[in-house]
Amino acid sequence: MASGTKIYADFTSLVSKTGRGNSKSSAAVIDPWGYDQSIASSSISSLSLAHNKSDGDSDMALRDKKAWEVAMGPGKTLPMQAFMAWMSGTGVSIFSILITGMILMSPVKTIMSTQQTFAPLERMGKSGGGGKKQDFTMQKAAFVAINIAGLIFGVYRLSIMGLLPTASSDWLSFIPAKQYTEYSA
Amino acid sequence: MLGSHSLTHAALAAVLAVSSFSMTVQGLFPDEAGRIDWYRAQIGVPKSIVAHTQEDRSTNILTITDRNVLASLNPDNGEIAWRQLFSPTERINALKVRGSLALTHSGGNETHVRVWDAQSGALAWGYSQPPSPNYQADSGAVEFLRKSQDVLAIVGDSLVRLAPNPSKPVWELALNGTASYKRLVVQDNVAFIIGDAVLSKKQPKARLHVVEVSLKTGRVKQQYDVNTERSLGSSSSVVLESKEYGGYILWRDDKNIVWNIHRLGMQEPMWDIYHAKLVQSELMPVDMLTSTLGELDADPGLIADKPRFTLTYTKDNKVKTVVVEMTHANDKLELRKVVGFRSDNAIIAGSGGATLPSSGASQTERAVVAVRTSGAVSWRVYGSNKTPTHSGELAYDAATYGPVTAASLYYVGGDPRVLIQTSGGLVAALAPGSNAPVWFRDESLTHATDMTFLELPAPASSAEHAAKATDPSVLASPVTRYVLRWVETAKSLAAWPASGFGLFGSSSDTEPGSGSQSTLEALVPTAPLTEGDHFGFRKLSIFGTSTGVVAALSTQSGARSWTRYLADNGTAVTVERVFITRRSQPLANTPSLLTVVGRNTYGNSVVVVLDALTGEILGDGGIHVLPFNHVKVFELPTTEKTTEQQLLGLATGGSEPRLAIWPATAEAAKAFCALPESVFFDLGALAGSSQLRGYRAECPTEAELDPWKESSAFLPSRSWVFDLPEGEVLLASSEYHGAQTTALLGRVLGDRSVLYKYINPHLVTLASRRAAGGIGIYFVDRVSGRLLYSAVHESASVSDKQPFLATQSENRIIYQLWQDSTPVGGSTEGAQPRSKGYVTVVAEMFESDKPDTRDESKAFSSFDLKLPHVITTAFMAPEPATALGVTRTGSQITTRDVLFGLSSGKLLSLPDQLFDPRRPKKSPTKDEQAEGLMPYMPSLPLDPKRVLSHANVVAGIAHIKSAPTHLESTSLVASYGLDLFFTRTSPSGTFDQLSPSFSKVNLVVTTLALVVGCLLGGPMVRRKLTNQAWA
Repeated sequence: MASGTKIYADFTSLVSKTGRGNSKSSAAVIDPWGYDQSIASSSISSLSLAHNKSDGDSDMALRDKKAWEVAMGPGKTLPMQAFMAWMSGTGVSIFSILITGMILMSPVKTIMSTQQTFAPLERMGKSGGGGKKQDFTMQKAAFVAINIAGLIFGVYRLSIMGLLPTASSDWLSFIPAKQYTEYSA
Repeated sequence: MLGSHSLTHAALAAVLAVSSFSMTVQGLFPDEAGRIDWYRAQIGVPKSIVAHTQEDRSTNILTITDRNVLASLNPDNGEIAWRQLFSPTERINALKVRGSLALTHSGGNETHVRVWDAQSGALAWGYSQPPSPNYQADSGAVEFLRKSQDVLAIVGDSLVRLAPNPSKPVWELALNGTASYKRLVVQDNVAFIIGDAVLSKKQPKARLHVVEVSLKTGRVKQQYDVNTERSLGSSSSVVLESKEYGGYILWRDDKNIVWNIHRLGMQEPMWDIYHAKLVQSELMPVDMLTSTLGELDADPGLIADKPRFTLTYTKDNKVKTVVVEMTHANDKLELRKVVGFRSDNAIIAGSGGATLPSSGASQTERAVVAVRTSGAVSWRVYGSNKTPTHSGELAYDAATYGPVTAASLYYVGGDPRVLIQTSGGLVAALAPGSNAPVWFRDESLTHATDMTFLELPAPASSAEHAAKATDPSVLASPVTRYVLRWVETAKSLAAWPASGFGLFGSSSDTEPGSGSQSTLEALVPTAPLTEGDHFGFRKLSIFGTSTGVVAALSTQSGARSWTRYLADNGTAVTVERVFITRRSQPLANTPSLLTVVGRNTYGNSVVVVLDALTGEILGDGGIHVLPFNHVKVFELPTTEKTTEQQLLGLATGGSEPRLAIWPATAEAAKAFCALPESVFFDLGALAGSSQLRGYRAECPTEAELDPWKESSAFLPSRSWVFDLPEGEVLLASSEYHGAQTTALLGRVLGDRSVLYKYINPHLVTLASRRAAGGIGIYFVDRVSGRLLYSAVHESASVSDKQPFLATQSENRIIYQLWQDSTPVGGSTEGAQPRSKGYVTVVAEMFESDKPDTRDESKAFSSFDLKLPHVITTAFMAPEPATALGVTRTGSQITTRDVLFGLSSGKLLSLPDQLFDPRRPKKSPTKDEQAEGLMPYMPSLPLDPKRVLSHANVVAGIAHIKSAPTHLESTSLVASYGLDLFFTRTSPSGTFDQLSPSFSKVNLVVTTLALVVGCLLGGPMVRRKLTNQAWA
């Protein structure tokens, strides 16, 4: 291997847990010119110290934060959807129906894929936390709730478009005609 | 896999190919005017016919009819050259023709004299006489003056001489009501008017009053009575007139064999002539006592030199008629027999003076026609001797149009034509040497009183007919019938290439055309129409007429399918209603039944049951004369079990009405009593009444039903009385026709709430004339007698020009009346200035004024204490209407069109939405816009595009009826009255039909191309896939 790659290898070994032994062995190698071992090792040790601390709490918090971000993600699209809905109007046209369909379908799809959405974060949590699964219930609940809000917005939109059978006129054809109890001529 | 797919495709393509040629879809397009509709101009039954020969020696037939039409007919084919329609109230009394001018006398006290150009029908000039208090009923006569264009007329209570284009008469003589003058005898310098003198206690015997008037001055020269003891028009008196010999009155005294002759203007001497001498043959006094006289010439004063008349007597039980001519010889009067013949059941008519026989202008060669009416119609034309000059026969069955009642004679290029009229209303022209009429006009339907549609069975394939004969069980299941039809279609497919792929020749409609009924159709239809079409466009429209004729016409072409003349004891039955009381199933052996209800001359109810498809009278008795007279006939919602005949109810009037049923059998009575709903009916809804009475049918115990006879009847109990307010008189009433089906029970508003419709089939609309002026409108429930709604139109009135018209459909009532500018008798103070004109009022009824409020009960009873919420609005109508109607479709999903028969001869169809009383009068709100309400416009448009009758002038529309077809979009519309006009219309467009521009060839070609593409492309794709797999 070329010397350039050795330097690269050293740096990587410092941050990786398994590479620490390698750094010792690499100390036998003549330091490059201008290399200060103390500075280098101190910074490495401080770095590795911090890393060791966060292995428990800060990594969890970070992932938690990340999960909240994911959970809140759909909320950010809501104003956009609302704007699109407003732009497309309440009339029943192909465009407004497409938009409404999208508004209705995307929360449903997202809710269906809740587990997959949080799966990468959970997986990371598993490997870091020594097999302990991180609990994202709140985030998932928030995620589902926001999507349900989106769905409700879609349904509301349906209703203002008059596509929900809520009025008496929607059931008019199902009312049986009256029977006449008398006959006259 | 691909192979089976392509087979399926090929089969599909074949199916499409076959179906595309097996039926033609008909839609409504402007260019189809005249193809989807038919029109027949009619004139009515002639009262008087005058043949008019013009200077170029072509002849026209001029006639006045009982439908108040003056018409000119083409003598070669009977088609109308021109016609003038008089107002129904202005009866045409007389028609005279001189040269190229026709003269009519019409009206009663207010009399109109008009002179027409006989060639074009244009009005040359006219004169109207205002009414006079001294007017004597039935007086009036008119005559041209000799050697002058002037006209002498008895108008109102005056005798006037009129010069062309009169602003006022040349002179006018007031008659002071001295007699009812009906006859005018014009001589060179004087005229005689003859009338029935007014009878008094002093002089109770009938006598004729004669006034001699100077033509120049209009002064009375003399006046006197002739004591004939006979009135004008009696069968034992005639008035004779002639150019040379002056005028005479000839009469025979009652119970006397002596004939008296009086020469007009000469009081003495009066000649007495014995009967025997008169006819130059020996007669027993007994025979003379029953003899009668008849006038012979329709227009006696026209060219006649010598007066003629007929004398009919019975000798040895044989009726004989002699034609007698008056001659002067040596200053002595002589009556000479011209020709005599047996005349049992014969009609004798003269040629009139208006004909020009072949020999030229010889006036003495006036012919006489004798038409024998019993059995086959045979006729003979006599000149001046005993042997007939022409004769002929007509193959005619009196059961179709009734016996011959009148005849007249005219000439076409020297050949005689005999015009016969039957009591049913047939007019036919006969020529020598042919047993079919030269032409005929069926004028019976100008007296139509009722009409009903008969659904014809769908066309059955010949395979089905064959199966009916061999194995009827195949027909029981719709599946096997379907298979049967496909097998036949497959067979016909084999013959398809041989027929040139159906490109040449069409066999879809073989009905005779209606273009010229007079010459194209056979007098007696050869084959009745028994099959309809796939779309229900071809039905039978069955008419009943007051002349006793029941006739079935194809709704598609107007071709007559059958006609039947109904008579009781030799007189026509006045048909009032026709009902389809049984509808037969396709290929069934039980015929559809038509029950005809009418009246005989004594007023007795008459019921006749006919086979609706063939017109054959069914039952042993044929014509059932019932021992009562009905005032109302209606359908009952049940059938007799064995015959499956629908029951009819016949209610009699009087203080204790009875309800008889038809069929009058115990079984029918039991079926009636088994009805789950109570039966109510109302009486008194006739013009002039002031009270409406409601009755409820009551059933006796079952034991009393058993010996049920034609005279049996139920005794209904009176359940309510509806009195109009003091001084009000009923003008007209209207009710629902047929079952009320509705697709939607409510009106959907803009905010998607619902106003529920109030549909009450028992609702009757009454219109009354108020004592204080104006029209009162009442919506009355026929079951409970409750007043549901009332309105007053203070300034409205109805007249003959605009009678009260109303139509009811679903929850909407539309009526039309005339509105004057100021309220009659009412105070105008503070009132808005009113518009003057024809007003169409719409009333729409809802269950509540609040949306989404509905009576939730499943049953509707008139005894529930609920009143409808009525919304009304009014529109200015473009023209006076003569009839109103509404289109009907199968499920009432299609919007309706309101149909107006206009007095200008148009059949106008306006969309229902126009008549919406909820149309906003201010700028519409968002909800109103969403509801699709048009802003209110006060006047209804007379849009030429919406005139269903397009270029046809449909005169005198009195009734408009509509029937659904098998296509929901399309309904049949029929209008009748004077003219007949049938069409079909699609108020919401032909949404369930392919447009005529739809290319079925393209469809088939595309499908075939796809199949070919699949067959070719399949192997290629497979090869490519295999190659890909190896790559």
